[in-house]
Amino acid sequence: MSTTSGMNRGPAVQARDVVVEYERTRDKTTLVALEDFSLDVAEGEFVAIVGPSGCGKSTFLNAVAGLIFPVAGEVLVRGKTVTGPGRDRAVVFQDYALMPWRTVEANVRFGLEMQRRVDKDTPAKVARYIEMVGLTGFEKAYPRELSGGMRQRVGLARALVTEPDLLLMDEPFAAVDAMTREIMQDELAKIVATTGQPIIFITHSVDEAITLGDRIAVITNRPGRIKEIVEVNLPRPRSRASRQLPEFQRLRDHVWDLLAEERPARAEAGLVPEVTVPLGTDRLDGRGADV
Amino acid sequence: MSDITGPGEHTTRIAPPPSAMHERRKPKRSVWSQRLRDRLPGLLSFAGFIFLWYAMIWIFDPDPILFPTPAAVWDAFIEALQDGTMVPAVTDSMYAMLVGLTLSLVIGIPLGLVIGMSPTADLLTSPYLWGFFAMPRIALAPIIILITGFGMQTKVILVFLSAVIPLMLSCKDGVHTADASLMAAARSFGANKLDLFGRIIVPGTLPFIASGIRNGISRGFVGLLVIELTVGSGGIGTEVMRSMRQFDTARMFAFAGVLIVFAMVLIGISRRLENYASRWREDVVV
Repeated sequence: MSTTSGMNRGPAVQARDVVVEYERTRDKTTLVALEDFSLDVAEGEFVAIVGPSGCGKSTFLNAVAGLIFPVAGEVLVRGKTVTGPGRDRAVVFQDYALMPWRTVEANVRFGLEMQRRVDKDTPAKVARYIEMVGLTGFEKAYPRELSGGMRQRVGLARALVTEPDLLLMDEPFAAVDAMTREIMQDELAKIVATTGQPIIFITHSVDEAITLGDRIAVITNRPGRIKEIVEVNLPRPRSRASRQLPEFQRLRDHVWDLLAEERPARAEAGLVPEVTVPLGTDRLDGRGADV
Repeated sequence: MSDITGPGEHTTRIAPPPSAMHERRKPKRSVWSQRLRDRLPGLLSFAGFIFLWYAMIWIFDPDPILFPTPAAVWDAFIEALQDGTMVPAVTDSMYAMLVGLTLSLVIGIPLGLVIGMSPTADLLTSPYLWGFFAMPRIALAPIIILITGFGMQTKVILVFLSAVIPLMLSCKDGVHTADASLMAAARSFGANKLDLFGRIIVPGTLPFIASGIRNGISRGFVGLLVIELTVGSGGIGTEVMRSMRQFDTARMFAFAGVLIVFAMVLIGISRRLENYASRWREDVVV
């Protein structure tokens, strides 16, 4: 909980020349996921990260989350080097990562339990965030009874209820249908307008990045580096109508052009991801991480 | 037995919106007529079984000493109850099952989980576990008898040995299925290793533990019977053998019937347990 340290004028997140390597489990060779990766995220800023498949977007997010560690360079969150997960950060995962044996309520409470923050106010707090993501009435449902969109709402509530100072979202809407996706983008924009924390948002949808982001970081092919940072100066709130704006279309063309230059050399996008293990972690800590 | 939910029945059901939950049970039939309805197929099939039994006797006309009628078996059952052989036999078998199974749970589950958690322990123990699993535990009976004699101890040990191996293997496999993304999610909220074990691995392993218990029960039952039938150490199996030696086939059928009921009760319990442990699962392991 570093709301006070959030007062300092520096950026919320600084990544300095970060290098992350994985070991391929098959032949024990090294795979460089990120190389000299540098990016700053300001307080209250929404940074969307786009890049070709396997470029290391998720790797960067995991490094900020403290789930994996760079072999060189460093990631600082409000001036402090990341040494592991912390209460100041919360992650929303692409595959929701909900405990199937827990009800919606119990899943939302999970983060607070892990952070040893359950007290008499917890039930009310959990209910408030369930309401915020629009799941009131489904408190007792199991994840298997929910649609993909609803599951991700649970994932979002689980992250928000810990009141993080930094929200990390790893392609959160990639697995939901197009209509739900649009609704959820809208709601996310509204929610973060009230909660106010900076957000790093991984996506492979250019439109989603432009709709949500203050800035878009375009990543190069693996090993991933920042190719270009694109400012999005569109008025908020942005809606479907914003997509008709000439500026939106200009940004979309520009980002697509950047991505087109980074088309994977091999037809990697269609291949099954390689099984890799982040270097310097044991089995309990990082099995089958996605590069 | 027919009110036991089959695997998968509860998994295909979609939860109604909570507001609709109260109205779902109506219209209400009386509990008893509903029960009768649930049991009707079972009762009919039992009646059909008895009918076939009589039909066989009528068609083939076997020697009553070799093939008794259902009525004779029923009489033998009542007689065994009255002369005080039935109850001790059942409690004797039940006791051996209970003690052997409890031991296998207490030892097998933690050991299986630990082996699953440690790749080294897994490598070291796996060949022995699978070897043990493949070998009929009955083959161990002579040496166990040699060591512990013909009594209750021997039965308990064989039940334990039969049940503990499948249980350990299930627990170990369950740990291996722990979902990497759940582990990452838990870690992102600051879970320590104990949290990962208690909050992710163990709950995720529960359905595997439950199916391990089911396997353990059926294997333990075989182990129990082998000793009871061959050694004559008391229990239902021993009564079956004793009746056979006395050419009292009606009595033998009566005890064999009790044995079947005994096994069905055990299976019923373990299926309920498994369904309960798997209630949150989308896919079903049978």
